Amino acid sequence: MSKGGGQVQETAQQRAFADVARARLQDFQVRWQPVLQNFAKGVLNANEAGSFQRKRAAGMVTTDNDVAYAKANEGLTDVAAQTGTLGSSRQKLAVTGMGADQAVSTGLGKVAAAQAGDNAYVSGLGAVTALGRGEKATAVSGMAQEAALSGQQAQADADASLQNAIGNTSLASRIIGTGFGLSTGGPGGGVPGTNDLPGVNGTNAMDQWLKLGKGGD
Amino acid sequence: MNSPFAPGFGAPPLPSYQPPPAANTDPMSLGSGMSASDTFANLTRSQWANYITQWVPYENKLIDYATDPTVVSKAMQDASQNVTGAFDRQGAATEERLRGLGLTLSADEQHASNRSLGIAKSLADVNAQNTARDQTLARQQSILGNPTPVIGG
Repeated sequence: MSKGGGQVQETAQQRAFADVARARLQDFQVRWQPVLQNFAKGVLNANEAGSFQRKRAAGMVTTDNDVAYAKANEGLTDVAAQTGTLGSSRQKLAVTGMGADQAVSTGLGKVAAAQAGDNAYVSGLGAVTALGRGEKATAVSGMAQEAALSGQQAQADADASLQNAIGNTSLASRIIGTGFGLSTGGPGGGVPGTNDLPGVNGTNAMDQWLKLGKGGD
Repeated sequence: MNSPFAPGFGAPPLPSYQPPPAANTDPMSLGSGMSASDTFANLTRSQWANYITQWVPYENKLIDYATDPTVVSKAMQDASQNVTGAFDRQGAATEERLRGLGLTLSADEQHASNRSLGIAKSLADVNAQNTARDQTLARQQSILGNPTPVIGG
């Protein structure tokens, strides 16, 4: 401030700073605040129990498992046909056992999807509060990650279930050229599906599920 | 006016914020007579009031999530419902698949199938609830700034 005659007067620069500050706040309120408010509302709406995002995530889990296990069931039927065990008790129990495996995979997949949704909600709220503090923040989308995770896990579980079913029916030693490329190791091994999980085979599918299920956000 | 700082977990509400009265608190005012210092003062008040009204409610939601114990129990309940629903749906699908293959379970086969199905469902239910509880608790702690403890190597 400039001084003169005992009075402290504002300089032109100070008045300019005040004008700029006023304009910046006005610009924020007109241009950016509505966008931030819409983002915040989107975070809250996505967290609702019947929201489109949660329904879609749960639906994708179910669909991915249906697709993966449909292929596995086809493989089981073909193996049973080639080994002459169609209609046997072993085949029947293999079918029901694979159904149970699918139910487990679907149920736990939906739990993972719900947890990913909660992660997205908390991350979104954290971003909103950081924006409110004037800090730069990034929002993490948990739904997209969990959608890819459900497909990979469904395929891994289907592979594991098919291997177990074949083992239970004592068919493995009598398999001759199933044509499905069943394998027990290597990237992309197992029944081909919509999402092949690299490095996962039928024997370590559960371990991968436990790892991904706990850290898949 | 409800205090924007009122927590949702039972603590006594804090006094509501009341901005001090001013002759002209509109920071956008271009009226004559408003000095730069008055403008900055009003801008500061306006920013604080905007923070209180626009952003503090979201902070309260985050605080509620981190401190509400029912969040964990609800997550466990939802997880159990997910598993139960999956098994209910799959039971009908498996019966349909058996019919499509022309297969029928005998009494012994049905008993064995029900037994293994029940075991699988119980294990999945417990696993789902434990997973939901652990992840929800870890999330709450992360909001409060406590890292999830790592046990083992």
